[in-house]
Order: sequence, then structure tokens, then C-alpha cells
Amino acid sequence: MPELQRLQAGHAAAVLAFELANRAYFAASISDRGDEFYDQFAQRHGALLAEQKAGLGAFYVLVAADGSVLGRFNLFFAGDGAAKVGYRVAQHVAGRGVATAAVRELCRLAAARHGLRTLRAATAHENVASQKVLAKAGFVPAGPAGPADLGGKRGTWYRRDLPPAEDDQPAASR
Amino acid sequence: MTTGANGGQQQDSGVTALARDGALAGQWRLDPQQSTVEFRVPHFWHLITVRGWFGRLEGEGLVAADGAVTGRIVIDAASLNTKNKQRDKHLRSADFFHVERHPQAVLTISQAALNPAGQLAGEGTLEAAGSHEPIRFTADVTAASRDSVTLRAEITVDRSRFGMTWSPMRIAAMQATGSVTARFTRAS
Repeated sequence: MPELQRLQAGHAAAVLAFELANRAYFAASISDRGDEFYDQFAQRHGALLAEQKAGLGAFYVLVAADGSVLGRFNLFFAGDGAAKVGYRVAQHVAGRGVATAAVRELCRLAAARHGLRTLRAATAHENVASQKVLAKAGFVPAGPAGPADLGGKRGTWYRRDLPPAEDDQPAASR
Repeated sequence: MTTGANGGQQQDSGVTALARDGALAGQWRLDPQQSTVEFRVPHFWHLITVRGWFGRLEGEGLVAADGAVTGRIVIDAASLNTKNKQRDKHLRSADFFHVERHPQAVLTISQAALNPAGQLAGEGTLEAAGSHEPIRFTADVTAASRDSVTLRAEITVDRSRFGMTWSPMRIAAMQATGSVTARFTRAS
């Protein structure tokens, strides 16, 4: 059973392997990261962890039993209990409900662990799979998303309001 | 450094007629309750935009008999707010505004005048974190009467020009955009 784990330094190698193995798939379906992303991966991983430690976001990886990374699911805190959601899932598990289950779990954690009340996600018109994931995870369309939100593409903002959660730990790191 | 107002299509605020009648000459004071200074900076490699504002402002303006405008807005740098306490603390630190040493950011208008479109166009300086940078701006006049005038302008700056270079792995953009809405009332 894959597990959603908080991103940490020890995930670096598995996350890079995930990004490299799926580079062409992501480039076609979301956007290409560019060579620099892979060349400077360790430093970027460190910068992301520093921002997480500073309380500006919460980053999760979906880890399989063998330790490989199946997906990344990120919350970027926007203030006032709101966050932007970003995610990407490995090609070899696409279409099996993996992303939907993980986004649902991310929503639960967003409320319970991070005290968030509103999540927003932008997805491109051509990314039908992601729209289905968001709809199944309880998001509803909330307006047009522009090229600045989607790496040059056009699409839709989705939104989900979260019910106040039973805390599973204090909502400290908002 | 570049500036731009909202782009043309504003309604005639009546400011041109008021200026022609000489009705605007004199001293003006910023109304902090109805003025805002906001900023936004792309973050997380452009995945999100950090938005913030400054809660405490003061300012004044002077309109000469010939219509020439000067003025300034003084911003309490420590009053910045991005709705995230840890980020705000970082923005007040020596990596950014260094508010202990430089408690104020100051937008100075050294010369400005109404253009034919009824906008206030001119130049000045922006002082922040101990650095001064020249700016040019074109402000829309969104409301005007004999007793109050409201201006709105956007100013885009390269924050590294103010020594604010923090951006590990370029996680945060250097381009910062400020939106100023300034309502001035007659100084009695």
C-alpha cells in the first residue's frame, strides 16, 4: 500500500529517479522542467525543504513499498487558511485511482495537520485526467486559469472548501 | 525599471477640468485609511505568487500653480504583511527590508504632471533597504474633486537593485510588482 510521506532530505534520490523516469511523460502532459531542474536537483530539493521548514508549504511524496516514488503532492500556503495544490503521478500508475486516493488523503492532511480551509488547483484544458482526479476528490470548477498559472497553457481553477477537521496533530505549521 | 498604469481605458475623472481651473493647486495629505501599497512576487519557481501589503502609510503632495506635482509616500517597512508570520519575519530581516536599520521605504515623486489622457505621469525615486532607485510612473486618476484625488499606479522593480537578492536556486523571482492606490485630501 503506497504511503503519503512528508518530503524530507532522504527522499532526494527517489524523487530524482521519479522525475527522470517520467520526464517525457510530464513534458507532454504538464510542462517540461528543463535541464537545469535535473542538473541542480539536489540544491533545489534543499531549497524546497528549507521553505517547508519555514512553514511556507507542505510537500508530500507517495512512496511505494519498495521505496520508489509514485507521485508528488504539494501544498503551497497562500495565507488565510488557503493553499495551492500541485501534483504529478508516475506514468506507470496513471489511470488506476492512485492520484485520486492521494489527493483525497492530501485534503484530509491539509485540514487535520495544516489547518487549511480552502484548496485551489489549476489544470490545463487538455489535462482531462487531472480534471477527473480533482472532481473525484471533491473539487469544483472556480474560474478560468491563465498561462501564468499553467506554464503557458489555459485551463480552469478548481476549488475545494475543507470542513474543520478532527486534529491529528496541532495545526502549527501553517 | 518600468511602470504602467492599468492601460488606458479609464473614465474621465474630471481631473483635467479641475486642473485647468487651477482648482487643485495647494497642499494635499495622504488618506491612509483609503490608500494601499501592495506587492507581489512569483515564488516556488513561479508556481505561486506571494502577495502582501504595508499596513502603515503616510504621505503628502504639493500641486504648484502651474500644475507641477511633487510628493511622497512614506511606508513603515515593518508593517508588511503576507499573511504568513514566518515569511513576514524573513522579509523584515537583513535579507530583504532590514527594517531595524531601514524602518521606512519612501516613494518620492520629484516631478509629475497631468498628461493629455488625464493621467499623472512623472518620475521620482524609490528608497528601500537603504538603496535608492529612480522610477518612472503613469498613474490613473480614478477619482477627483476639489477636495480629494485618488491615484492608482503599478511599478515593477528588480528587487536585487535594493540588495534583496535572496533566492536559493532561484526559488523566488527578482521581479516585484507594487500596486499603489493613493487617496489625497486637502491639507487644512
